[in-house]
Amino acid sequence: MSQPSCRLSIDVGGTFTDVVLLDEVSGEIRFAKVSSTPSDPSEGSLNAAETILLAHGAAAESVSDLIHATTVATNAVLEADGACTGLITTRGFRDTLEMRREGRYDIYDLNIQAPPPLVPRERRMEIDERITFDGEVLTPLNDDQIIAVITDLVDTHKIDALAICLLHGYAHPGHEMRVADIAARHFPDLTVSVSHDVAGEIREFERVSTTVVDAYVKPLAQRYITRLAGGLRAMKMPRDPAIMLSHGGVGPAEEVVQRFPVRMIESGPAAGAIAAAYFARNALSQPHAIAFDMGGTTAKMSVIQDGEPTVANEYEVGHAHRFKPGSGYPLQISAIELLEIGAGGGSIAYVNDLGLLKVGPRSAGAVPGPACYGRGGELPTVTDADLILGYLDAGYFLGGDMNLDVNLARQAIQTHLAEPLNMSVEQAAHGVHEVVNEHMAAATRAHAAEKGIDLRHFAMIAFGGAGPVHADGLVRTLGLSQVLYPFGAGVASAIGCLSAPAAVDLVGPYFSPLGSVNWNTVKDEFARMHANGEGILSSIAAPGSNIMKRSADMRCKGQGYSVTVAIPDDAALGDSLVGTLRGAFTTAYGAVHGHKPPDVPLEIVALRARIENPRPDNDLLLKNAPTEAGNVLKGKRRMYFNATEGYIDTPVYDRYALTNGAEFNGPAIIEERETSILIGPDMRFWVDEFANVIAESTKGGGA
Amino acid sequence: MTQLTTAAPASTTLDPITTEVLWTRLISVVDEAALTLHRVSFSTVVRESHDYSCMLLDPKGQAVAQATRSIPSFIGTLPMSVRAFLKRYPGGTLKPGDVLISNDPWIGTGHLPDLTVAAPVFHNGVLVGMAGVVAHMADIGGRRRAPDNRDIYEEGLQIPILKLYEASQPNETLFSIIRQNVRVADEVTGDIHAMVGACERIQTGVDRLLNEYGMSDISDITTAIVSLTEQGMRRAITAIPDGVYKSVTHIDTFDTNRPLTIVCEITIDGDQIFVDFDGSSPQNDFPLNSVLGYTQAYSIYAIKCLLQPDIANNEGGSIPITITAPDGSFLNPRYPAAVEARASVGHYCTSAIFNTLAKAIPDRVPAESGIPLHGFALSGHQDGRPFSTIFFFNGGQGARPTSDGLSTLSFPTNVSTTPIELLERTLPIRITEKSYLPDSSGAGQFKGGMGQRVALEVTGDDPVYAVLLSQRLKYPPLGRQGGENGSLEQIILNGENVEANKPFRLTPGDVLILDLPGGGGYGSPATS
Repeated sequence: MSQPSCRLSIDVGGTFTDVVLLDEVSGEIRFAKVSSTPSDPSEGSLNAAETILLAHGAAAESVSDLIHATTVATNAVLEADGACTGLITTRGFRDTLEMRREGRYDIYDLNIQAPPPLVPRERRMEIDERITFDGEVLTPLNDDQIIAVITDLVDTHKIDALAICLLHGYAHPGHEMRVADIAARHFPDLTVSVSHDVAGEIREFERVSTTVVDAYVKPLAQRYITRLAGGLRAMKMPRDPAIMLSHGGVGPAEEVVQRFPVRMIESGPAAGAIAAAYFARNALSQPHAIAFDMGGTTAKMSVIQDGEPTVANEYEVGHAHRFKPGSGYPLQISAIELLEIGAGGGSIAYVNDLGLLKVGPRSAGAVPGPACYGRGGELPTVTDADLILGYLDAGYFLGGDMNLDVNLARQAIQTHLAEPLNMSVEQAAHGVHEVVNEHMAAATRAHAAEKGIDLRHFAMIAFGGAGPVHADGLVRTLGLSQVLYPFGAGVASAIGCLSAPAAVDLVGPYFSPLGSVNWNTVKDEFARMHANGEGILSSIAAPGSNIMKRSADMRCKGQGYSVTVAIPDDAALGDSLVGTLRGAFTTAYGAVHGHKPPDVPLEIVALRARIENPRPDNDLLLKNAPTEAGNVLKGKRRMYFNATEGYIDTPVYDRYALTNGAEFNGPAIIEERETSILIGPDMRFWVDEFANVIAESTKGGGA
Repeated sequence: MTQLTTAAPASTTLDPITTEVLWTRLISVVDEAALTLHRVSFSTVVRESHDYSCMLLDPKGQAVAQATRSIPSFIGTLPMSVRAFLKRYPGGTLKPGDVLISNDPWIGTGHLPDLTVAAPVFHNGVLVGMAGVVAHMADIGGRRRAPDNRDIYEEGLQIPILKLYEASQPNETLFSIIRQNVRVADEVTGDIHAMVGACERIQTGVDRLLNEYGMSDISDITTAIVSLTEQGMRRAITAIPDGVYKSVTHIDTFDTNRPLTIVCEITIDGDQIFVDFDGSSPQNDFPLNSVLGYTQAYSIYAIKCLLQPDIANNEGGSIPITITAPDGSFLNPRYPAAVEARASVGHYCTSAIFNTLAKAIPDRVPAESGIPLHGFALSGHQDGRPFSTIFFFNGGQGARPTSDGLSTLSFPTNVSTTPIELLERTLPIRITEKSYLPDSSGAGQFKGGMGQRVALEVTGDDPVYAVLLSQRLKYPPLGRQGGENGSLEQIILNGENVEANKPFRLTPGDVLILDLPGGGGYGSPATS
């Protein structure tokens, strides 16, 4: 048996499964794409692994680890395809799940809809029990009643999965554990999700929502991972598969689906953000960036700060109104913050009632698609506008696999935009480009405001089919100065899997004024989380080799919003830490709110631990600059940047022929198979040693 | 009466693309400010209920851009406040760093806890607009929501139009007076600071935008936004059949023997709407009086939901709408009427508008919701310190012309519930039930949303005083087009139905239950 010498990552998407093989000795990486197999995604994943190993003559035994990202959990929620789930709650609270928070996500829309509860009322059962917030048992459990309730759920309602969420279970899980124990003993075939284990945070609606989503996806996620792991073992892969989690670390797949599969939600996009963070660390002069992934129907943004994506302790999935926060199922999980905007190449442009030009969120999708696809789409889209402006090549779309019809694009824009707006086709097309950019910028700005981020210190990392066409306009609007167009962006999520550390995030309940912390309790809580985390990671990271990053959620007494404050790695837990925490809180609070916290006592409201097996970046020095011999300059094309100049002749470069050190001024287009990079006037670009393209304003600095 | 008169729609000098781009940017500026306020605010009401708004106004006090998540109370009321501010302190006298403040209900949102703060926006030394922020304070002194308040003097601290900051110097006298008059001084001053911070965000955002576009002021974009919105609203009104439509809506009050009546007559005349509340009940000696600005806000809101829901709120949508109510009626009371619980009656303006317009456009108007706002205002002592707080629960939404109403949904305001786990951790109470009332929905082709039952107990040794903001003990949410009515509200204290005409003194062992109404149904149940 050869020494393990390569690493494999697989990203299962809706259409394609991307696979990347990294030779750990040479640092070379290889890409491949196979068709996804939605009916049993494990088939596509195994096929991808076999394909790439075969193509490069690598033995399965030589694979030191396999990391993968999958949409299986997300899709179960989006397609309402999860398990028949039952829910047990405290007496009087079975409707918490469906009542939600009673607010409206759009105040003027009388026809808003709520996402359907994943557990309908007849499968939500109440039991007699009550524990107070400070742990006093007011009403003890009745085991017979619990057995009867679960029996009813199983026999009458045929449930496959059970969620348990009791009031104040985040702090006092005794009753929840007991109910779970009874379920496991009497109904071993049920999968069980328990709130304190899955979520563990105060706020009963958000916690029950998380627990129910977990239960809902669990049987499916377990089946998928079991098949995948079995298939890999049959291939003689020496290690168990790891999976990308929502927070950007990887965990052992089989343990994750056993414990909390809800943490796999958005695993693919999280991997994409991790890839962006990798590029930010290795290819930018300062590692702060907005990762911008614009595809056919949506754009996704994530913030990379100090080389790491920002992670929040909440997420929302399955929106009833796709782009309205508050219309989905909230999740109390740590997750890379992904801002999703209804803006993509297929977004439809129209003139609204007031005579203004609007773009999205309605999308022409892949069918019928933009007008220029010639598949019957008649409405103008962002892609149609980009084609008219000369940013896309009608003959080299998807590397020439698809021809675009500029006449159909012009006709759509003429009829639906230029005529009603009384302007030229070019002006209207340029308007579509500008409006969609401003729309994305507004969403990005709001997100930055929430985070207390000054965007002027940030670069942009652009990928996705439409990202490199729109990044140039977006950075101008946002006042950023630099854009990175990474090589290998087409398989970014698979690259992200390879650069992510093994990690698990845990939260421990602890409430105390900062002035009277019981440090022994805090020590015990961190020790418990450390042991728990090492146990979870044990199949992919040797116990003892992990570090623990500690933090505390703190707030001003009376405020509802807390700020997560890092506890320095070398700090001893004791009263000497109080000053440090107060200072760190002031800094973190100021970063978010723009001013100092008010002079009121501080409180700790939760403890958080990330148990992580650090992976040094030099493990993953991607050497991927194989260039195709040929002319750097493919030719010239007429492009439209503003009304004053109209169309101007603009050089078109071949991405695959550009080599390290190449440097040109804009305006320009750099064509690659999946996308085109638009370099506007007043920008210059160069190619670095990793074949990344970097563009920068020639006017110096941001706006 | 909508006070603002605008010249005939000026033809805008900006093209439709620039207008869209700049409008998007201005909303982005006020949204940024609102997000900051939301995250930093202290009071549960502001934080959990989004009971605040941020707005950019032009130098005359016209609304240009309003934060996306604002509740309806602020439609038109924040501009009214700012216009009153500018009358007291004309724009020409304002300096950078000035911040104005007031909670006068008659120039604003109709009760004392809503504080309005506004600051001039300068660009290159020239006044280009006003930043306005309004938020509900956790306390404003006085007898809180006591249902037997007789006049405004009992309802708390009245702050006339004053300077909170003058050229960045805080008005320490005013801060001291406020601190001395409220039960939770830290929370209230903390929220005031957050509001000032939000104004600063708006100032910075506008300044940045003008620099980027090389513009000297916001007058062109204001003209474009306001006139386009106005024209859109006029077109929508034109589509309603001309005529005079009338309805009568009954509201039961804290004293069910003395109901209030809203008479609403709507005249659709070409591209204008005239709403007249003549014939509505006179003002009363309870805090159940809605100042004209609040009456107008909820009336315009209802019209906007039906006619122009997709357009971001600004002055233009209100211009073709005229709303009048007789002086001295409960929808336009005279000072010093008690007004604290104005939501309990003012929210019904939405119902009155719906009930009337349903006669003109029956296929577009939903059934009545389980409004108004229901909830508990609690005060007392906990661990030797006074506390006072308010939290809300909602009835069911009225059925829509094409779908069932949603259950337990805030309407017409937008106030989320506070998590029970947080309430129990911070207050000496326990909630023992919060669940749907399945029989509360009005039947129909489409059903009304369900109401809910909330049961509360006291856990400490000290008594807790509870004021219930309740309604609908006698008049249920109406069904529409043959749909049945939703259920009535019930208040049950220790097993007995009671009325809420005075504060409850709850001691350990008491159980107070609030059963909230479901929404009315739409269309005959036979067709479902």
